[in-house]
Amino acid sequence: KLASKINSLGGSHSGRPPVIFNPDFFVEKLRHENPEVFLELVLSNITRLIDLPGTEFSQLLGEESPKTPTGGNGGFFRSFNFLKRKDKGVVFGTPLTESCIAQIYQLIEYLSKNLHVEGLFRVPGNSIRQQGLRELLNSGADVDLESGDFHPNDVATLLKTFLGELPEPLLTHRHFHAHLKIADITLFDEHGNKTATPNKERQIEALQLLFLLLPQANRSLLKLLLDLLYHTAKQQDKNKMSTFNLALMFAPHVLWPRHMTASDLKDNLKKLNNSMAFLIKHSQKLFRGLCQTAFHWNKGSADQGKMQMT
Amino acid sequence: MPEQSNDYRVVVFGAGGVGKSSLVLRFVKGTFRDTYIPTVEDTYRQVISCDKSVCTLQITDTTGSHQFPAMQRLSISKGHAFILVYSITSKQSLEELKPIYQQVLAIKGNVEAIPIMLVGNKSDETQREVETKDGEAQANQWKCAFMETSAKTNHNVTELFQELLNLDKKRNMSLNIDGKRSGKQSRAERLKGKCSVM
Repeated sequence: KLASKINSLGGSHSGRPPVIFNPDFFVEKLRHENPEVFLELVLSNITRLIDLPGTEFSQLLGEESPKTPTGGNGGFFRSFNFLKRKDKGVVFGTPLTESCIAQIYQLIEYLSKNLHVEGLFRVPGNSIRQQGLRELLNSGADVDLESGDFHPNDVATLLKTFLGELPEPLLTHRHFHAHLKIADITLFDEHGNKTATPNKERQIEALQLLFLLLPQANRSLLKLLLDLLYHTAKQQDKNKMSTFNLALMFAPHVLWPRHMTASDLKDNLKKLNNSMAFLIKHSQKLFRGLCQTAFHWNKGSADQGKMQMT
Repeated sequence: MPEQSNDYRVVVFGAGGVGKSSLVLRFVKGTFRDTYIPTVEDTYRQVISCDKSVCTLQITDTTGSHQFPAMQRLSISKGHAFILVYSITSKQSLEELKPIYQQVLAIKGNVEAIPIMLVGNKSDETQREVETKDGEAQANQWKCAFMETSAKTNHNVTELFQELLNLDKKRNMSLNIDGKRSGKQSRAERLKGKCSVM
């Protein structure tokens, strides 16, 4: 289906200078050269797929601070956590930056060679060794993880700790409601009634678009993380960590609004776990060939003029 | 906090994969599943007798795989009694209980009046890393009770919960609510001998 869109795209440009057949190229070009048009384009496509009422829409844009579904006692924990935070290092407990990712990548790279370990990301490992590793990473050091000083469980748990200590979930508070909505995109039956079956294709499309709105650092780390988890699940006959098990382990760090507990999330808990599993399962499609759809949609629309001017 | 008076809250802690859920499910439902599914957080309720009346025993099965200090503190402050589970096949899982015990100590202040049971689960396993005496020694140090259990073979599971309730001296609690308390209690008394209650 997407291929036909690309073809039609190529066709429509046939009389013009050669077209570069990498849709990502245009997406990135547009993002950098004309961020406003880019944003408008992505948003118009997202709202075509999911229904975002006014407040949730402005939340996605960051114009309104996110309201978590049950509100609750977040404020209390926020202040409590702030007081409790002891070691403010360069990597742990700070907003996500590219240099954080560079340090954390050492963990990811090591884990990708140790995916066979039973209970990886579930069994906690040794907290004292983790503290040591954490300090090494905070100091900016290159760590020799192959030295045997650390167990894969230490490294895996520290990666979760890192995500858990980010000021925001990796997918950001802003996007929280959009993810709940994406989870609800289902197929329609022949009478036009909503069914309970997820419309995976449209969910993937919506996620591709939504991820374009993530800060670049979040997007990069998300891709690295989902790739790692995808390959972890592929070895579940050895490590016993199925996609769903991994989703249970990571949804709290990647999706849950901070300072909300399992019981605060109530009915959304299951949905969020399923969303996380979906991200892992389809990770190989979420960052690739992004937005042929958006590009296609742009063709022939009023935006086309703007595109050509860029 | 709702229902403060009539609930007796037991919280189960321990590292991922030691068998917390298996113990709780064996006790609550009498079943054992040999599957590998982590827990987010589950709460089970059961009516028990308490001081010639009934109350709800609320068992919170926590996750062993997340480090949410705020969540852990909340569970501890709400809990009346604690089960700290490790697996006899993993020395590391006993190690990982230390920070949790310290946390309980820090929040509850004095743990001597708080029922705490250290539990070495998977006693049916042959690849033992933690000897019974090592578990006992840890329990002595913590001034708490100790038991080895197997959720798989249903060894010491009901006993674990009854014994935990017996440790609470402020209430007189029993798992039985049908008036057959005397028999059950004498059984619990017998078991007490095996239990290193300090």
